Amino acid sequence: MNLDLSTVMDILFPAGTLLLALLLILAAVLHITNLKRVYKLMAALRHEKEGSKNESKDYSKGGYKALLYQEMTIPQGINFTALALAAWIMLFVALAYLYLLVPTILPFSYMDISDLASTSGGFFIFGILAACLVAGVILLLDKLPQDHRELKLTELYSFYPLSKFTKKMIGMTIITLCISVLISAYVGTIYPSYSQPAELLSLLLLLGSTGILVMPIFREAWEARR
Amino acid sequence: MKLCIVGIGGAGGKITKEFLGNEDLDSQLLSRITDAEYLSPGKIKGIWLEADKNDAKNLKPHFFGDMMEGCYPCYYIPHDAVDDGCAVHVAVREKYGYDVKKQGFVRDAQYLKAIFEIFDTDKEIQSIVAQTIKKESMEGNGANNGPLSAPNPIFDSAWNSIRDFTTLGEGECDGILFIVSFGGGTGTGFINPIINNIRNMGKAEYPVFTLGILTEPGDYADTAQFSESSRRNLAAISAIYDLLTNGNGANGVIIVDNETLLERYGNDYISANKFIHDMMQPLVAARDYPEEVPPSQAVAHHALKGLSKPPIFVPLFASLPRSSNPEEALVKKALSEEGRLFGCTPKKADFAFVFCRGFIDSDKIRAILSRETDIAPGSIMLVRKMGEGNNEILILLRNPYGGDPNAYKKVGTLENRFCTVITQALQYIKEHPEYLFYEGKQEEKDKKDNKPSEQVKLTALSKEALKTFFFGPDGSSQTSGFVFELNEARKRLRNGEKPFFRDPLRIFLRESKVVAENQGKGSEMDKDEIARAVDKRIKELIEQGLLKGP
Repeated sequence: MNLDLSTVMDILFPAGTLLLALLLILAAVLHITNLKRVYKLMAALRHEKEGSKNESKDYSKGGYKALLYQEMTIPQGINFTALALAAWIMLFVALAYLYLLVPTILPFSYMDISDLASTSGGFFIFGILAACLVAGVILLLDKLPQDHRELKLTELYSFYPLSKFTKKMIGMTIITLCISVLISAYVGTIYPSYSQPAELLSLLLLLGSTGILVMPIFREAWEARR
Repeated sequence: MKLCIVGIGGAGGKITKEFLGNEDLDSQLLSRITDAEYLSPGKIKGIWLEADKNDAKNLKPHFFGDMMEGCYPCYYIPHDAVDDGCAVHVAVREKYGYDVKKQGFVRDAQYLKAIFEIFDTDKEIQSIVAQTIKKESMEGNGANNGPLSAPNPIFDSAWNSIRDFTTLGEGECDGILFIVSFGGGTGTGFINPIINNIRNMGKAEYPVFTLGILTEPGDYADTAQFSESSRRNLAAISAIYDLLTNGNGANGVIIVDNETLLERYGNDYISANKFIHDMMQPLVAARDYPEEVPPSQAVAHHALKGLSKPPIFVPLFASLPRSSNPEEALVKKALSEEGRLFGCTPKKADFAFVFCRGFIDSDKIRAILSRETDIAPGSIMLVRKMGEGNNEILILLRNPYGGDPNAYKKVGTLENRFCTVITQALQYIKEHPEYLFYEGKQEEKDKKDNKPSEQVKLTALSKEALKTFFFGPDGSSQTSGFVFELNEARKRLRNGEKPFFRDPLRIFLRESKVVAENQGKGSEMDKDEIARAVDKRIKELIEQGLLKGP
């Protein structure tokens, strides 16, 4: 079967998109599973403590979970936390630029609001709006009670031991994500013309950055399998 | 349990560096924006005490900064509390011949011990200190010395540099872990005076542990420091003697054999230091199991339980990849020759601390360790932490020796190792008695960086005190003195008795009637003696009808 280049490109983009979605969904599921597993293990290992001391305590409201999360927490440093948070916001901004700036996979896009999109600061406003939206969601999640810290993006890395190298890599994703945003913006600029290689490159950078951002979760899940 | 890591001397500083690395990303620009604080793993805090400013400044890579310049992580030079040529400096030198500004290359434990005791006992010197030394240099941020304390500029300022990291100051550390090399210069000399000073300041209950690396028997590893083995052994055994006989001193002495480290890492000291850091992680790291966070006070209490003198703790360490049911493998590996970091007989231990990292069943660990060592499960204190990779176990066996008169002949026992150290120390004293008084040619060997060091010239008063300290009042070493005590200790080791070090010794005795009262009881009363004296007095008062009997 002969496949021409444009057909391959046509397949690659949806496949990459699927992979990206899977990566993010799997990371979220694994993160929650990782913490649930720790909770279960700790509950099992508390057997010798059962009895007089703990009976008097009410854990039905998730008190033990909150305590466990508190003890599990690894302070990673404010510089890293700031960079990691910025990287996650950038990830969603880059996603928005790739999928919502011009119609790629989805039938709608920012270009539908042509009056705003075609202004001189149109793309910038789009980016700011996306960033504010993501930041708002992150802040909202941050208000969750202490026994639901697994859902807080701000505390994602508090549960995983990270080497300095991993931290640097996570910090560096901001740069790759910025490049991805710039390429997507270029695709938006030439719209309605179309550059498949640019789109693919942007997706590739997104995929790589996402892989780095969620790597600690996958590593922990891999090690826990033993 | 959150310990403040205090490295003393060159080796102590290098090991402390491993504990105090910054977890956060090092970026000055970012730190300025985020106002980031220096963050060590487990939020550990610490400091490096060094006597030699040049060594401190030149340690590469430049990790520690000068505390006086507001740096962190930082070093502090306690000797800087005394200005060069000031009244105290001159008075001590003229009366005793000791140079309180002399740097750490006086490689024995007696030098700083003597200086500490001079400040502790000599009223005249105390008066000069009170009149001339700036109060803030000794008292820090307004904190006062305890009621038992005499003004002691060097050691007071050293304590002040540590205090703010602890719960006794503004910090969070509820205990101190001193890290020293037994056999070096500064660490060996400084460790006992600084602990004594903390205790004298009324901090009798504050948990203080010592992690000491015992110098190796041969000469090959210490060429950089230009000190022969027997001399290092005398310094080491002097420091250990003081630590183990001071009932009011450290809560425990964790001892690691440098010979074991050399066998594993050769002259790769960086890897050896990293290993010591890794080995201590189950004890110092964060991520305790919820509701199982022991305060240092509890650990200190158990460390001394049933004892009147600080015990020796031999560390056994094992690290294995995560697996299900890891307990058996971990304990067995730790107890094997490979896991031991000092010669010992685990079955002779009377208590064990077990610090684990990973998902570990404490009942299983207790049962396995009890089965393998005969230590009663009730005498095993277990602390668990969530791991960060491998499963790890650190077992600290308390006094794992004694009861076997042949043990000293067997390589790999604590008795054998200490007999070797004591023999070498005694040999050094016998061969070079003049060196004990800083006479003869020994000082020429202390040249560092090709700069000749200044000769110490003790006065007759100091010489007499040192002579009595080493050889007893009659100079025969037959009934008292350090040489006598070392010989007795060696006999006890050979007979399988414990503890092998018993009576504390001082170079300069306290004046006044306290000394007179204590004559015949040893120079310092331990807790048991105090308890007996109090009981006796209460009985007398009851008999006199001044108190109601039970």
